[in-house]
Amino acid sequence: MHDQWNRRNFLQTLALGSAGVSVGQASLCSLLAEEGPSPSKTHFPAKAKRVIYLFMHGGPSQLDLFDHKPELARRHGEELPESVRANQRLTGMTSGQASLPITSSLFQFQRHGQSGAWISEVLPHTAAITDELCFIRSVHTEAINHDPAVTLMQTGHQQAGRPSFGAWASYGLGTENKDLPAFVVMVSQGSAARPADPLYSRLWGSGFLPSNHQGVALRSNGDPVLYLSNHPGINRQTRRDQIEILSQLNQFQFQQHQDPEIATRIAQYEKAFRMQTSVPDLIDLSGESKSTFEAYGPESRRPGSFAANCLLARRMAERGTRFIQLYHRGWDQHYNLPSDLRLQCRDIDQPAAALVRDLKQRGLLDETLVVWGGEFGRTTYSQGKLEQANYGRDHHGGCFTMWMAGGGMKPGVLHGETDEFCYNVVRDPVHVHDLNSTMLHLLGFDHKRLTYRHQGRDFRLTDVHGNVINDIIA
Amino acid sequence: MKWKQNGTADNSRSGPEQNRFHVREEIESMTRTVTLLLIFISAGLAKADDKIEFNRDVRPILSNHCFTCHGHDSVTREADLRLDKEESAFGELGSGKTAIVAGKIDQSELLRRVLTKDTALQMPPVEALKPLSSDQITVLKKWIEQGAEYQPHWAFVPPRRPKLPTVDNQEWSRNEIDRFVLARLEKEHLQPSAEASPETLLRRVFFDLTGLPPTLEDVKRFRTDGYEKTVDRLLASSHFGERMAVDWLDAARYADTNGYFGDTPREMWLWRDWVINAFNANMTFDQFTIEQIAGDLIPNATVQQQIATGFNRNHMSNNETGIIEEEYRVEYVIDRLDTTMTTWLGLTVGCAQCHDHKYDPITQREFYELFAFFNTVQERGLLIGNNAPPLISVPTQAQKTQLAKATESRTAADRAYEKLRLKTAERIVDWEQSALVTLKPSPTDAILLREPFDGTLIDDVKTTGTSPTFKRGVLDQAAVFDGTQNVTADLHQFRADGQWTIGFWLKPDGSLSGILSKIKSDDQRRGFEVLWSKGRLTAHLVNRWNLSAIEVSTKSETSANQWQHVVITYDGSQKASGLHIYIDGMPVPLEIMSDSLDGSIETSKPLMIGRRDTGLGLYGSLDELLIVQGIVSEESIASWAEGERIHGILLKPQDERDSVQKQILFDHFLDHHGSPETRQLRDRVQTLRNEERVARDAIPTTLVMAEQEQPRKTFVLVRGQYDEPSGEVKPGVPGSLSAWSENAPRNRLGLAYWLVSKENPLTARVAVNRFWKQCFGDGLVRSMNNFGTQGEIPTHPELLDSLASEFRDNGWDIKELLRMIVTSSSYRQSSQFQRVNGEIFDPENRLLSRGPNFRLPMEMIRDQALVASGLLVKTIGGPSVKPYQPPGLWREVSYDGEQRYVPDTGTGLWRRSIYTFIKRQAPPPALLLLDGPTREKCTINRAETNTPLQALLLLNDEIYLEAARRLAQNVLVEEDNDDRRIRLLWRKVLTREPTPNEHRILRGLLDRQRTRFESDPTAAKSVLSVGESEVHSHLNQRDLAAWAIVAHTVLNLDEAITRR
Repeated sequence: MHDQWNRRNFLQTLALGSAGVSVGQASLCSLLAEEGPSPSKTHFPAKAKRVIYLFMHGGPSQLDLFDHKPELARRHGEELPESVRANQRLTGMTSGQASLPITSSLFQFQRHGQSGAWISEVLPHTAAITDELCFIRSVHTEAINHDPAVTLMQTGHQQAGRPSFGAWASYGLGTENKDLPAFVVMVSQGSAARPADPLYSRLWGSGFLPSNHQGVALRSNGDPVLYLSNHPGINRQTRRDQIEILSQLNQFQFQQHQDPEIATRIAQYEKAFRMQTSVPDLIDLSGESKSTFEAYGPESRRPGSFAANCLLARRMAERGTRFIQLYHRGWDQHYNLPSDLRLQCRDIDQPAAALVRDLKQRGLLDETLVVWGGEFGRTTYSQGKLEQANYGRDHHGGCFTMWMAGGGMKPGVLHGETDEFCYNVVRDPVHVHDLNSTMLHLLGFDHKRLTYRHQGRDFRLTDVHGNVINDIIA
Repeated sequence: MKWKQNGTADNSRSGPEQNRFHVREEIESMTRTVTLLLIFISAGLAKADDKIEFNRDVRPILSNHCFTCHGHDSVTREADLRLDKEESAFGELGSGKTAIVAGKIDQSELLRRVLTKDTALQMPPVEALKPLSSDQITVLKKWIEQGAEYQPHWAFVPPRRPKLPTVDNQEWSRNEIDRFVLARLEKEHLQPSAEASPETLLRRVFFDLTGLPPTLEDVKRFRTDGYEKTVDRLLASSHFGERMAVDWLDAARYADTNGYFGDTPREMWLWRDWVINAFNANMTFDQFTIEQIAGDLIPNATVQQQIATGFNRNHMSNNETGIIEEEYRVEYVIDRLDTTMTTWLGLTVGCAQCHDHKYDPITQREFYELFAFFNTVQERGLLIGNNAPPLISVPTQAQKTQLAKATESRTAADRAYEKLRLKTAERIVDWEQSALVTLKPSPTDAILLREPFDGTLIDDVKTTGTSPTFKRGVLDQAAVFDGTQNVTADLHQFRADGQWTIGFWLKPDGSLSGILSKIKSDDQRRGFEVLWSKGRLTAHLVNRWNLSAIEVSTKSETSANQWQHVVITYDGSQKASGLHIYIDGMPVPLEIMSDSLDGSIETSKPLMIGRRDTGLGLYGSLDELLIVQGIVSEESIASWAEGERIHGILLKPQDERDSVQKQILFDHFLDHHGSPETRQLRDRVQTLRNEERVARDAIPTTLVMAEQEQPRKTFVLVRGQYDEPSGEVKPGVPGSLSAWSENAPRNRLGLAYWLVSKENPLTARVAVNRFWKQCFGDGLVRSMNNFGTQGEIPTHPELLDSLASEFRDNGWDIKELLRMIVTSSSYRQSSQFQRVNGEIFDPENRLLSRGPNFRLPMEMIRDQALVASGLLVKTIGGPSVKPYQPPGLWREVSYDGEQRYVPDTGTGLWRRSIYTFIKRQAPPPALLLLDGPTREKCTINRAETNTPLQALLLLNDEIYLEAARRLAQNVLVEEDNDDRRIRLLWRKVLTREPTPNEHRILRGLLDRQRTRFESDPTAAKSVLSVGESEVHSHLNQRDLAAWAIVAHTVLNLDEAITRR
């Protein structure tokens, strides 16, 4: 939960008062009156006020979705040339494999929109909004295993310990809505038969930033936010009574000790009380129209589905949540890619497209950056046996495709290019750090100046790397 | 790559951990006047005409703005100029100029370049984004004017005991600490605060030394014992070690799981016990260091000394398939090094992994020399199983005896049984002749499909493409699938309202498999299917996927590569309860994932055998598939499995039967035709075998350090890359800190001696600072984990050095140090804030003009509720426990959702929080919400935030409600009128008496809640149902509920969760 009122900010505010604005004898009332969002400042005017990050966990196959390589059909089954691989490391799952047969996609591709982007038949709804999207086909990462790759995407470092993107956003921008968290995370399970890879709370953790910047998981089972609901025996009136009493008794303490933390605590109990209605209000979809549910697809009525989470993401965008992180699990198609990828795409295609359309319709797309992608791509060659109608692909960090929409991105653009084998980037490479620095740029930050000092060093999301990709910014 | 150091216009006195957030520059600049004023006061900095001091005034400026290019790192150094070394700064440069000419500002190139308006020449360069403020430039100017005197970095010079300062106030000081603190205050013409009230002081010292609040009993004793004696008692308490261990576990990144990817559990609690015991025994800090760094290398190391080395095995371990092992093995070594250096030396050496350190005198080569100490462990990068070797097994004496006894009994029983067994075996041959006739057959009525897979497929079963191959199975041949077959049968009798039974033998090879399916591959996925995943069978009956379906899965796991008989029956009820699965003839419990079927499951698709609609195939073998209309009885299912299995074995020639089959046949014969004595003896052997296994499994293991016999070589890794080794290095330490004793062995033991040698400038200071923080909420060096040149200078340098040298020279005695701190007048001050002209004076308490206060860490908040309510189970040590936690948190993130948090029942719910199981992938939510670490990396200092989610936690977490109702119950039993009860309740939580106002307010709450629960007994019952502990049924339940609300409110008070 983001809140500006941690200890240091409080002190800053007090100091600010004496420097110019007169606070005088800081009474509790005046302290409380200042509770709430403070207008944060960016380095330059932000194009995006918020991010909706649709994270496809497991690594979706760029070869079967966006990066069409018709040439490969002719080479199907041939060995991947050594010259293409060029000694790049493989995961231990295929490094011992005797043969690395080129595997062309089983899916049909067509060109769409003004950019003429090739899109696979399994993403018809995405194809229909091509003109809103900027496809980056040249994203690359040096990580080849899930844990480090996802950790790098989300925290800018392969090893644990750094703050997540959402935490940086919360730290940098604060919240727009004082009754809701600034950084929210939602997880949905994919339909693929293959078991889903694990997630880790560090992916939405605050690392060395104060823990009020950690992402708040919005859950579809049990309490939507942990500990949100009163126990059944405690009704709202009793809870109100408790909070009043706490406030009165804490005020005695404040008068005696003059500790600003006490004033903050009083305010936070009030805020907790308000959240008990603002969060249920957020997740109550009963006011959504039938046509909205139809747009997001039948799954949108099922709590916890990717579709329902997309709809919630729009509601959060309306309410000013800064960073809305969705994870859809199950994209790790080592085997049975044709059937499992179909299932995964069916989960996300319509809702993701509906979200972009919905934001646009409501005039929110301009100020909301929507990002779609996973932690890496997949190999040109088949993992395991290549069959007539079945194959699998291993992890591939050398190139993969992501798309972004709204929030100051150029719409209808294709950026970057890979070689004919879809193995290496040949034009406009975009490293994970470049991607993150661009996203920060859209949020109004110079990624080199959004820093936090820890252990004597000024850390940043992009470590010591990252170049903003100006070509794709509107 | 070029390292660019970014930062704001520097406020050189602000804490290194302080928010350097650039966008707040404006606010900062406005506040700077005020804060600087306060800070100048508080740190005793140079005022206008004072002498500039290099360490205090100049080094922070140079370090932050210049050292990146003109410092220690030779690779990024520009113009061959070092400003961290006076030889270089005063020397002639290639250009013929001199950076600093002492006393001559006009000849110092440094100043000229700082002051120039020419951006091509200006320093720091504009693109470095690190401009100097005019104040900073003035400091540099004055410093050069005054002679540009350099000083070595304070923390790299061994502490020496300073002279005690003289003070005016002769009454206040109780010990040396106070002399230093008072002298500092008197310099500012300030007085210390008055002493805190006895109750406040008592709570303070209880939390600081034991992590628990005082009970009313403790308060009573305190009145007779007095403060000093109470301190003695707390230091001697066995809860002392538990409190001390919390901070140490943060530093050591202790957790109960492996952290990466699968995040499997690990057994490591013996090391935690070692820490608690070491603190309780007041092990000296040098010994504490030596045993944890190198206990295994101490000659004739004891088991406890080996356990201690677990400190350096607490790092995460990766079990992700496909990782490159060396990449992770190197990662583990780096983690060890980082953790050791941060914990003992307060240095961040990590920077030197890729290049020479920018600020501190550690070269990349020196980094790998340190790395070499930790690089020769017998370990690998990929974690297999749960506990990564090297391990030791640590039985208690009782466990040893138990195991020996179990083995002895089992051996004796084995001997007795063997004779009878041989006799029985002789009779089997004769029986086999008649057995084939007498065995009960599998079902024969209402057969829809019977496919025995005996060498060919029957006519009703078709194959397109590759056909399965055949191999000997359970009964004659079986079909072998490798995931590529398409075998179908036209069979349409599977209806949602029909009854049917499916049976087959399955031998999966371990991969996820589709066994049977009849699914229409569209959005609805209507139909039915059976899958095998990680030992669990799953059946789906689907009308509309996710919306209208039955999805069940067997709860227990069976092993791969073994034949198992599976029967699924369905009674047409459209309920999950109408679906049963039997394994080897026995019904097995099912987990119901979905129970919403409300429509047809019929499809026109054929039944696919060994495949799931379009994709997933079967990896393994299938035999004797039988589909029957109607439900087969449980009894028949039992004999079905047994009959076919025995039948199959009997068909095999004797010499082709394997040992498992022989055993199955033997057991069958014994069960049906053997003598009762033999049966009994066999069962007894079986029981004893299990007991022996249980006794063996009960012995805990723990991860330890152990050296390779042939030590691995260590190389400098170019850019820190595991696969780019260059020059070989030997173990060694950075010479700039302190010298290596030539008598010391060149291994971890030598390193440990070096850490605690008298010449080491950092170890004692860093340790003392940590213990100081425990009592004062903040260190004397505020940058707890950075004593390097980028760190802060101490608020009281002489006090730190005095304590550090005392600690080092007088036996590294932790309890003595703590005693000195908590008995000082400085510690005993009231923590009330003072306002000067409406402003809080010295908000960060850098002058120590008042007592410390801070919000309690998560562990103390929870433990306090346990103590106040009488729920606390005081057992010291042992395996981790699982108290209440909201359901689903593990499942939501774990691999395939396969891990579940199952809370303990009974005492595990009410143990101290230090024993709570920590899963790194999903740490206990209360820990995360209350600023606790994830234990993935070494953490020296927890942040302190104040958030609404914390309020929700304390208002709604089960444990606080349970504690509240127990507290209420105790108060009702112990006192007999409301006024006295309110006072008792208040004192049990807050130690002090309530004021009349507080009393009146609580009374109001009580009355209102009484009225409410009077009219709503269901709510009362509900409030009292929280938690597992018992409710006194003789008390008026509605009254008790009202009191529980009052108690719950008191537990939520700021005063309850803050230590003042």
